[in-house]
Amino acid sequence: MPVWQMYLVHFQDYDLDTVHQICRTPKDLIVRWARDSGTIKPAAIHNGEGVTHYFHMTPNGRAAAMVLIITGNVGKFGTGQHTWAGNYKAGTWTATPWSGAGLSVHTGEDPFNITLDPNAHGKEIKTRSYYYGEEVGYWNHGDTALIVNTPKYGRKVFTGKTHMPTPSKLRWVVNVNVLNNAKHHYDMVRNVDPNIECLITQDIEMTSDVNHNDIAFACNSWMEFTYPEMTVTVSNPWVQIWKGGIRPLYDTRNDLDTFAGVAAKLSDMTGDKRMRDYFAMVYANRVDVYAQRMLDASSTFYGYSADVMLKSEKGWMVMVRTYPRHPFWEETNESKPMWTRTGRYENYRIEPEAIEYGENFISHREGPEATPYLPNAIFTTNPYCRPDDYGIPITAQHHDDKTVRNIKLSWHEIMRHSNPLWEKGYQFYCVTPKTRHRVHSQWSVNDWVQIYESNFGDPYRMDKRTPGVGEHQIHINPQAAKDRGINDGDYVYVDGNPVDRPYRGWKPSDPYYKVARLMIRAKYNPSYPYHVTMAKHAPYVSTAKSVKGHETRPDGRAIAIDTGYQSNFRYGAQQSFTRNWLMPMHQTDSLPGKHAVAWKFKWGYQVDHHAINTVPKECLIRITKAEDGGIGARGPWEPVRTGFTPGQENEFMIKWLKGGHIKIKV
Amino acid sequence: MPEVYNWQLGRKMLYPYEERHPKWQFAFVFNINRCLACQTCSMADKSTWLFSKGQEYMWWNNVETKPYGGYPQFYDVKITQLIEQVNPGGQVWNVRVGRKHHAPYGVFEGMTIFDAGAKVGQAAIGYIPTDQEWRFVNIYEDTATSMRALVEGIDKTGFSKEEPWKMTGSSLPEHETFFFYLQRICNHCTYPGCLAACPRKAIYKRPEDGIVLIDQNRCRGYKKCVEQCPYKKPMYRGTTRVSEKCIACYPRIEGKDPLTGGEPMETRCMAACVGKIRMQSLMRIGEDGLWAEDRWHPLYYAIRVEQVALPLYPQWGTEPNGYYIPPRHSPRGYARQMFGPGVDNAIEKYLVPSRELLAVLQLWRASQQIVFRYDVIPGPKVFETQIHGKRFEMYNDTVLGFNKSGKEVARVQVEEPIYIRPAERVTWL
Repeated sequence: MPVWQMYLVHFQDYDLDTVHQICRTPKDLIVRWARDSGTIKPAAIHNGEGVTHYFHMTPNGRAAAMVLIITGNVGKFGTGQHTWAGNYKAGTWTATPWSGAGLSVHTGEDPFNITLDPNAHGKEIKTRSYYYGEEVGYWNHGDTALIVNTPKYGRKVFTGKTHMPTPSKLRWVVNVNVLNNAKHHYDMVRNVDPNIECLITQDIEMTSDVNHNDIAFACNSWMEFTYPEMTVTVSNPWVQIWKGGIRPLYDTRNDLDTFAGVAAKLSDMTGDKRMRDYFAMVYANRVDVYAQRMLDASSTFYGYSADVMLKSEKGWMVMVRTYPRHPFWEETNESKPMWTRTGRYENYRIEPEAIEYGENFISHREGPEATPYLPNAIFTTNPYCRPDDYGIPITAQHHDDKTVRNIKLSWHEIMRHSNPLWEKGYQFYCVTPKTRHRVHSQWSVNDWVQIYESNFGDPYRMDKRTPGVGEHQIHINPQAAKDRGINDGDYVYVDGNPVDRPYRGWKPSDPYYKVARLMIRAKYNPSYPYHVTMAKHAPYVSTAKSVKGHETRPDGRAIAIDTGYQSNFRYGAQQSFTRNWLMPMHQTDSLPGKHAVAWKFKWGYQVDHHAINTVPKECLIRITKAEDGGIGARGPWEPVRTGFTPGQENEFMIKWLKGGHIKIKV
Repeated sequence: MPEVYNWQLGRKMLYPYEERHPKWQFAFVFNINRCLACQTCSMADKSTWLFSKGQEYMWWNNVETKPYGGYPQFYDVKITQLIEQVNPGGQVWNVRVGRKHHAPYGVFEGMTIFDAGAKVGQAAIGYIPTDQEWRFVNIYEDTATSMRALVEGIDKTGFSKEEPWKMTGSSLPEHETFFFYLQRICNHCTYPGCLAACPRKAIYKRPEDGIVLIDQNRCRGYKKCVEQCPYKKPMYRGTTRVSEKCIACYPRIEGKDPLTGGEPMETRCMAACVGKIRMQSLMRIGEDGLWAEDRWHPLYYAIRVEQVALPLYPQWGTEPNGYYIPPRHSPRGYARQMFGPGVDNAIEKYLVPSRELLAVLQLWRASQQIVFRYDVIPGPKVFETQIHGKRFEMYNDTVLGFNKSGKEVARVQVEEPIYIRPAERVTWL
């Protein structure tokens, strides 16, 4: 049966009433959206990056792409499905037969055959990679792969061979504050990192990663780079060539200097000069040579001179193939095939894993934890969808069991099953999108950022409980809060699944539990449906020392007593209630795709492209009142006493919201 | 008290000083529909003028989420409440009189802050925000109303397990549940409340460009300006014991920034705008005190010809020189309370823009130099559709912007241009 015939069968489950029940979108708007998608040309879907951070990002992305594929909205200007990811940039330095090895001339130069001639052309560089990629998501999963003892098959490994991680011996991260941003943060600190022999980080700020590591290198910010640099994002049509900025404000070094320094030391210790040779141009302050080699060897840039661009008075931006940059432009407008088995867009997945996991078709799946219904259920009755549940019972609650259990059911059946966690009172979803005020997790404790970041920014800190000049907050529907005795501005406790959060093995009597349990300000926001809350992503977490700081300092600031690290919280963090989830469909050995930096197929693991490259926001939380919001925990937070605040409007405010204080005589 | 003519109100009104006008007037148009509240403007302003001791609570430029946000907290609700107490139910616009050049929005028959002030023995009605009210500059960011909830009681079943499908959505032309961002700097009003209030006559309006300044030597910190500016843009500084306010980056307006070679340049907050929502210029003032007819001036065209941009709280009577393209999704009643009775026309014009308006809108943030004149080179028709039942045709026209000396400083076309490099530059991801 042709794929589209099978989809006609598949779609029979997805009638308007059922779709409306699943996604809660009003029916008339669903119909309107469908009609608009089919009639507006060109049409694009901009879904933001946050959506891709959920467990079922794969079916979600495939579904959006399918709508655009069948309406002819791919590869033409003004069309496409777009997120705003900042990574996936390596492909811009693509290797081609006529240019050379692309980005690999720098990242994959053969360490046994190093080119030391600064005038060598990029094409002359010998490449041979001895490294392979491995996802940090496994570290976040207790430093293990996804292995489940199944009733049907016994021990089953769901992590593909091409993805298989090795136990972490050493972690060295650059400018990413990875520990701060890790789901299940306190479990990482408590149960995982103690087993890693050496932790190294390099950063431009005093982050919690710096606080928890053995070694921290203080590095130059972009503004202070003294070496040339090139960068681009996957959605940006311009590659920027940057010659370096202001003199470093502090005694700091470029990121590259740390690696070069360690390599030099290793050469000194072993007498093998090749480690030093690998960074030869760094010691000679000729990093431009490496830039030139990468320009020479990639299709976008060959023929450009790094020297001309770096010495020029003007800033240089080199355009990629198209402006505006457009994914799949070449596949749609030229004769290039897609990097798929058929060379065409594929809406059906024939990989054995996809069939086993019930994802050969695009179906809706409930979250493995964040659902009131049956976790991870597949909504379909399509006979061509044939998932394997591995004999795992429908009542199983272990996170890995729920992760791999594939059960297909009708929507009515899915709703009939309750998630036990929901029944226990964990009835709020918590979404954690990025904030507009920081750069990912950077500048979280910059004064002006803290002031703008929430309802509680106050440079004079009238309420001495405030951890800095501002603090983090959780948005909550006013009625949901009122039903739990929580007023706008109150401090609340937020708890995740008690089985393993905030960390495995926690006890109420454990002093670290007090550090790890999230206490945060509640903010009334009628934008949020009753069961949905929101706390922004990646504020600086509480550490044992920042807690000691605010509990002992006369000014009450949450500052680590030794390093001066400033937290955005009094207790815990937004990662207190999250944990890691390893999506099986992201770990196959059979999915084809383009090699990240070359024109060739790669099956299975592909760094950033087919990998556990995100750790989903997937949790239910419980919220209980901790303290009054008024200064010094006395009475309600001051603004709510006005009668002008959301959910507590007085008569005048209600009239004002309706525009009732102006009349128009027509 | 003398009477002055306020064209935004379509009538004369009380003001403590005789009517006098500058040669040019600093003015701006903010397109609310494009703002994402990134606060780059706020940070540009803060890092230029407001980083010193005693200025911690000061944000001459701020962006607040309406309707609950405000800096200082709830200033506009409070001013509305104060006037309402003096003139209950009397804030009325009469649009029966029709639209005239001297009264484009009809005639306001209610009380301004000066009218209301006269009733209570003050130059203008107002209040001094407490220190607590200057806290939380970004209070209620991204916080929407729940209008249905206000009427019916909050629908608890909205997302509950029992009846998850009892949700209704919002769609244009009006979103019942809404918020939007309001970008604010000093409005450099024609009839400033702060200037009217100052017992020391320390506040003045520059004859060359209408920028309102506080003389730091004359000011004694009585805070009357803080009290009687309804927009709350003068701010008291404890360390110097005098008040400060937005200075419209006047060295730039004067062309003193080396970047523009003597030509007037837009302010820091305007030039830094990432969302391209801001445009600023100087308006030539005619002998009658109104803006002189200037058909090919982009702001004159937007404000006086198309009337797509409207003053903020015109009923307060200060004749503010900041104008806003109102949020197209806002409930109209709320928007009229904020921008006057011209809201319906402005939103209609913006939703289905005329060929010329669409071209002129491309000039927003196309140049750091102040644009004084525009011209349009016609291009081909590239698109047509229906928007809310109205026919819309798009032409790929090119708009040109000229600086004060008449030199071209901007050239933008309506459609984003497309460039394709040769095949050997292939990406093929």
